[in-house]
Amino acid sequence: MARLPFFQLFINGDEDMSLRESVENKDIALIDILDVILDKGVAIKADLVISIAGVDLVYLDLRVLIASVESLVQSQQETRKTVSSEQFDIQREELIHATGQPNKWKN
Amino acid sequence: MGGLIYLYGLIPTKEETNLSFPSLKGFDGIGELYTIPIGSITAIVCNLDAEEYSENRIKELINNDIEWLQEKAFHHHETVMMLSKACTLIPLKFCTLYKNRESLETAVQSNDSKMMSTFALINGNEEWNLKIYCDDHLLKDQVSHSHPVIEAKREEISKLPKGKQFFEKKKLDKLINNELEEEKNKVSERIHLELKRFALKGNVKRTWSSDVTGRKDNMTWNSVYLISKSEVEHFLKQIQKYEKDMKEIGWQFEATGPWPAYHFSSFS
Repeated sequence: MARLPFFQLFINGDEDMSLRESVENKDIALIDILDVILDKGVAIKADLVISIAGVDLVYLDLRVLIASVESLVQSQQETRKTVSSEQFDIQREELIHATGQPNKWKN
Repeated sequence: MGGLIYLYGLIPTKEETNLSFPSLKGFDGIGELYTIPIGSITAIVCNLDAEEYSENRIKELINNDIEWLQEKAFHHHETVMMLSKACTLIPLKFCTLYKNRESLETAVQSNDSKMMSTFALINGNEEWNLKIYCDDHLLKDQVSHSHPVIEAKREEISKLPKGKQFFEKKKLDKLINNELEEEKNKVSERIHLELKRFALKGNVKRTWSSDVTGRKDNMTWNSVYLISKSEVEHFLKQIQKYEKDMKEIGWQFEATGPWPAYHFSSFS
């Protein structure tokens, strides 16, 4: 997870880069985004349908809040496969078949 | 018809030509972004299905489906960021929805003059965020050994019988913790005032606990600044100086930006 303090990034980065550029190119954590877009921003009343003023970051899942946007993008690009025990079983069967070994998992 | 309108942001109509989003996907990933000119102000919106995005449904998703929130918060952020790079933009809060086009138009028309003065305020300026973190252990040590009252108290305790020492030490600990918080605030406030010299405006926000930030050190300060583009480099250099001077004694500075002017576009 890339959450470098920006000066570290600056020191390690391109010497010609301005401070502004190095900060701008830094990964932003989701917490930083939520801190801004849930907390502030104009909500013009009138016929507003939705108001979500009461969301408290404290109750949200910590692991996601600290995930950086970079990892967020990666996770979206990956296909969402979950490893289930059925899949394990299928893979094991395939391996057993490929190696020609007797299946010691069967009684 | 009868769909909801998701509002990302508002721009001055005269800047609409700066925009080029041939096929930007909307909030649901299906529809596309489009503009609604309302006199001198133009709204940037997308349509959403009213049944799928009812108020209750959205609240439920925000509170219970973290993956949904993650994806949509990122979509909102990315879209608003892109728009704010091209235009003077009043960014809207996440999930700001209108029942229909007419209700949006009425809301914008009735705030017309306030919005125009907001455009004037944010034009050519940027929003930057600063979070300051402290290593309490390191700082506590310094406070505890540099404070004359605490030193005197410690001396006094050492002369007491063992049983009494225990309770007095507890009291002393409390005193040190109070001093620590006071010292952290005093230093952060001084820094905030110094940084405000580079900014047009500066606001203090609430801080987040370690549970939320996932860091070991504590967030001591969270503030936002509206800064003229030409001053940003000076502002960041000043923060770099703090970092250099104070890193050893347990202080960390984290600046992020430029943000769309979320904190400086509000009007009631």
